[in-house]
Amino acid sequence: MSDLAPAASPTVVAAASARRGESRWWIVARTAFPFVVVALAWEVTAHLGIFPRKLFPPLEEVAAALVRLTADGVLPHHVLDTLLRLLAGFALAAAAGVAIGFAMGRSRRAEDVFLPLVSIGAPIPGLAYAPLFLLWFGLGNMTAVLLVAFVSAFPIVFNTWTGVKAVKDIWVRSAQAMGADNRRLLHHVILPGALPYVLTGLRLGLAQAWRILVGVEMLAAVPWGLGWMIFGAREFLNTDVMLAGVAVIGAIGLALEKLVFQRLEQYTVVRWGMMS
Amino acid sequence: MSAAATTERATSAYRAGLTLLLAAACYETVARSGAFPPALLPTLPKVASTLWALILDGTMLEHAGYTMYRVLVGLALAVAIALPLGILMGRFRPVENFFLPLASALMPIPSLAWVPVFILWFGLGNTVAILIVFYAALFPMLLNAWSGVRAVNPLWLRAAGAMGADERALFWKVIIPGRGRRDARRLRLGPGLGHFRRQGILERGRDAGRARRDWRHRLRVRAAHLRLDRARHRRALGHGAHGEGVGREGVSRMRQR
Repeated sequence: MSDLAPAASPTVVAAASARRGESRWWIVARTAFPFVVVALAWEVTAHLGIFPRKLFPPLEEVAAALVRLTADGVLPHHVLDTLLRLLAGFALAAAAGVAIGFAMGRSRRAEDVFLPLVSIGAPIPGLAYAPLFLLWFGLGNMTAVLLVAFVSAFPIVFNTWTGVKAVKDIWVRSAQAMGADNRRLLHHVILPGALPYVLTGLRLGLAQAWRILVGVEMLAAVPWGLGWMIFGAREFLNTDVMLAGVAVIGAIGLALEKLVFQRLEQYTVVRWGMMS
Repeated sequence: MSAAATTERATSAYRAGLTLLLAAACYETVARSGAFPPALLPTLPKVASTLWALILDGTMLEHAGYTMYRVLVGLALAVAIALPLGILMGRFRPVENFFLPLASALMPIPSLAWVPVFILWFGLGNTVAILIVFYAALFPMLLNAWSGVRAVNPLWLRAAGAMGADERALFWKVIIPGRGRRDARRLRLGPGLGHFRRQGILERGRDAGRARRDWRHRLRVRAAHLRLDRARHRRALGHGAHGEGVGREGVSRMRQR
């Protein structure tokens, strides 16, 4: 299960580039270059008129749509609703997933009980549950949040469980020898020891949640949300709006990773020297 | 030891079976209680008989066949593009500099977000389904192939280069044996989990070798310190070269547990 290894450091790339003696501007230019090339190719294709303009709008139209929707307040409303749903679903998944994972890691009995359930549930793609959840909980927010929570809980459970199991036996035994009670053992040894795996699990869970949320927003007929915005725009052939929505989805996904998880890792496991 | 392990495994299997039975019983109770309409929550025998009937009349197999077809074609396309590109990215820095930013910008976009766009572009039908599978599988594979090639021990590469290996020999004799097994295993991950995790790989791939060496060095230093401490300890306690406490048997016993 190569998905389980703790993920790596954010500073390495910058450090490596600095060591090679590349200036900041060179790195920026190098990173921007492929985007410029792709944008140019897009522009040329769009303006040549090979495809209908309505279906393949030039980038300035996409940008204009982005600005227009933001100024309207429509796009921020969509984004806010999507983020709230993501937060609610992911918080549920994180709480339940970490708790179940810890229980599975610490107690043989819990492991025997939960492992078959989790291993049967996990390989089924999240969207396959969507029709069931729609039938049970009706159209709307409830289904979206619950489905996101349900689907993103699996990687969290798996990784937390592995993490707790991976805590070195000798740490546990030496803590016990030094007289740590159960609570302190959990708090000072097992929790920090399992944290790299737990963070990886949360990271995977968030990715899963993000993916499933966009899909379920198309199905669950929610009033606002980015997935719904894209899906709705198709009805009116608003390709510019759709592409703007896709761009915003990508930006949020990137921001979640860069601003949330890398920070979190740096303040905890990287600082403790558990991950280089 | 082995008898105990067998009993333990039997207990685990027993508990697992019991859990599944319990879960099924819970479901069955709720389904039969009539709290929900039977059309929404059918009983398990009904589900089983429907499944059996669908398998017998071939409907299920046909559906499964179409799904497998889409998955396999999408996957094959992704393999055909991701593996060569990932390997090129791992070997040649300009290729990496060009494609890596693009990959990391496209990766966080869930494939489902593209569905409406692709439907507009390619119409309803198989093409969209295959393209979505392709998109979903492409980036994890690309980044794994890339980080796999990057993580080949640079010493081997230099050694092979010094012995006059050309690019082709390098590829077949060093890179593929060095990383191939891992990549093959990771192909499975392609359609599966985690682009955020791949982001981690992304950053790690660049300098995996260095990090590993650093880590080993740190371990070695720590081990040296430990040995020193132990020696001091023994001298302070007046023991000879053979310390007491946890002897070799003790350690191996601990490892076994």
